[in-house]
Amino acid sequence: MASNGSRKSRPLEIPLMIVGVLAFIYAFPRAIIRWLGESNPWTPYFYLYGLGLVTFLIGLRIILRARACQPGRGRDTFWFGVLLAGFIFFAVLHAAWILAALYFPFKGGA
Amino acid sequence: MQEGFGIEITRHATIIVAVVAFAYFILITAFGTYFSKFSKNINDYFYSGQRFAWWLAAASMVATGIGSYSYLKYSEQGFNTGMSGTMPYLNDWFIVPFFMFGWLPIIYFARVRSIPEYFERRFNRTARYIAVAIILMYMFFYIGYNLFTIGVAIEGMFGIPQIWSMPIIALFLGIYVTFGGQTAVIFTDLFQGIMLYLAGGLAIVAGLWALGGLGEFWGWLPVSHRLPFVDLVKNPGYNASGLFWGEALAGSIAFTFMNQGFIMRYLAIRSVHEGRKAALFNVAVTLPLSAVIVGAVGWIARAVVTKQAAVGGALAGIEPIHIEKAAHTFIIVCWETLRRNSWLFGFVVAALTAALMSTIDTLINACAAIGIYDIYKPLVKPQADDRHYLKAARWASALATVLGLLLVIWFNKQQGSLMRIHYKGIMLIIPPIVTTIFLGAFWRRFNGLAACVSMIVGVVFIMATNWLPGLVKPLAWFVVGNARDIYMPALFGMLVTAVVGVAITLLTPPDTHKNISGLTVDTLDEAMEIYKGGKPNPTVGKQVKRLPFRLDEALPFGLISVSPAAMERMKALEGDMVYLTDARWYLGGLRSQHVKFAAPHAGTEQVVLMSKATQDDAFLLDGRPVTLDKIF
Repeated sequence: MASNGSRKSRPLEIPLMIVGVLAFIYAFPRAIIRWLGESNPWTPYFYLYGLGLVTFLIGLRIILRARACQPGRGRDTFWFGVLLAGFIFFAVLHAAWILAALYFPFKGGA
Repeated sequence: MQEGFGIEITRHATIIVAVVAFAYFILITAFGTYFSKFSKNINDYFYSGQRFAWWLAAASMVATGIGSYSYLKYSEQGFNTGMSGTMPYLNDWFIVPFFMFGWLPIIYFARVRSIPEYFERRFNRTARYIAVAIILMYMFFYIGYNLFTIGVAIEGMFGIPQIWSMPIIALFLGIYVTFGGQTAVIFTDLFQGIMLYLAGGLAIVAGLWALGGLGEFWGWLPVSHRLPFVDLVKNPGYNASGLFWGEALAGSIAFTFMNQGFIMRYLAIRSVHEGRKAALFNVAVTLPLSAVIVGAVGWIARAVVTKQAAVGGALAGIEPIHIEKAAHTFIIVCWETLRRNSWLFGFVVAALTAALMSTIDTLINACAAIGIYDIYKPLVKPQADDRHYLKAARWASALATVLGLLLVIWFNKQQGSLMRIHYKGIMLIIPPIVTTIFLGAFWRRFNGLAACVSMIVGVVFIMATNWLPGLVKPLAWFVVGNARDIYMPALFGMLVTAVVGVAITLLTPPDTHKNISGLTVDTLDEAMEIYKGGKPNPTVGKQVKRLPFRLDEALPFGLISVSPAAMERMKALEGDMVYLTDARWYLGGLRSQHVKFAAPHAGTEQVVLMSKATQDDAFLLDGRPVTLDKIF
């Protein structure tokens, strides 16, 4: 959404992006429900990280395009790396958590 | 014997618990009031002059983020649904790029004092006062709710009516916030954050001990309670789909972008780089740890109850635990697993109180900031000296405390589950303003007319969902959400605000007459230049530590001079902005200030030259070495 006068304007880019995001919001949850079922413990994981990834990527695109983040300037490269590492950290943390929940035996029976 | 909170507590034990909690009140009030001497002017009072280290602000955010209701609410949630109670704390990363590289530098470099002030500078005065109304509603709601929950807890445990307990707590709080301002809030919250973690940790260790260790805890916790996520849509009160839209997006943006208390913490930090460190620490460390501290007692309770049922009686060393009302989980489990030790239990109760005080002090200070910067200064007394505003700020803090106290009466009259009323209330208040902040910061074309109309239309439509819940059904269907949950109206409100805002912006001419340089994400280079008052120098240098300083009255106020070698080490140029601080790191920047480099001095001696006025402004002490860190 951020604009910069020095850059070429691409009039169809934003409408296309909005349509693409809306299509994803509609289709993605239905696809994972069909694939895994509504009550599968991985369904909310993919829902959260699928839609979360789209939000995250839109954020990255905006800050890069607006030149708020300029890799190579000052400490921007470091902080850009932190953003990517943080996303991976939480995605891995939650996946490991689900695995530990499912594959560690419960002492109270079935 | 009192049984109001589901525990049996003797009169003797009640007195000990009350003495521990009361001693804590006195200690924290004295501690906070000490910092009043560091508030020389209105900027110090509210923002501590952008001087603190990241870790100090981040640590003090721990206590701000945990309210008195957090222990009760998340232990209840933990007992009912298990570890998925951590979801609201662990889903913030998706919006971090917008904050770290967008909103944080915008408000920091623009030296925005409050979100409504941003609205006037970015849009117009009407937008500012719509924002004032919404934000004050949001913050007073939180103040009243926090006071009310601790009042309920005290009444339940000790039988002290709220009409007595609430004014006393408000009095202690009011004293140190009124006199100490933001510096007092930051330092007391640092102390209280440590208290919160210690007490929460104590309760967790006692619970694990009673269970027989971590392995036993995990083994006896049902699989459904171990999972980090709840079902996608099944439960209308708590489901993964609603939590993504309502919490991860609307709630997280509100907390990081709009919560005046948090914003003021970031504005108290010495640089944007340090602010990013605080944000990183907050999302990656503080929030996950806080989720465990406030929720783990509920998970332990579920494991204990499961194990008790399996072994057919109480666990070794403790009385049997029966939880009839899940809202009592925290108090019951603490009391029993601490083996009814009044001193330790008193410490935990003091932590509950700490949670209350540390959340409300921030909110009171934040409400006062809005009262002064958005109401008193622009509308009542625009031309007054700093001393007058400092005095007015103290009155505003006192007034905010009293208003928060009066709201407790209103909460007392509400029917039904207050946890639900709280969430529902917040979800109705925040969406329009959150969306407007977002569009304003990230879309330059978004104009004042669109901001005002979209906020009002957003508020009207979101309120309408109370009477016409069917309005959210199509949206809930589209995103695979639950139309009956409390989060979908939030998403609906955001969508309506965004659609109206975008449509009006595209149909009306842009605000070309308005200078919004530095107020949108694509004008941050200009923002840095305005902030510095010159071209930024982004080359990264190294800190110069532990240099002695000497007075040189030839240097103007706000300028310092160092050797060429020190300038080279910092990769600094004449005119660059530098952070000058007492070399003792543990002060966290309490004695510091931003200054600029004058031309390097001729001598080879490693010494910092400055005037007496510069020394005093930074609260530097004679004979104490200083550390220098170039900003840009």
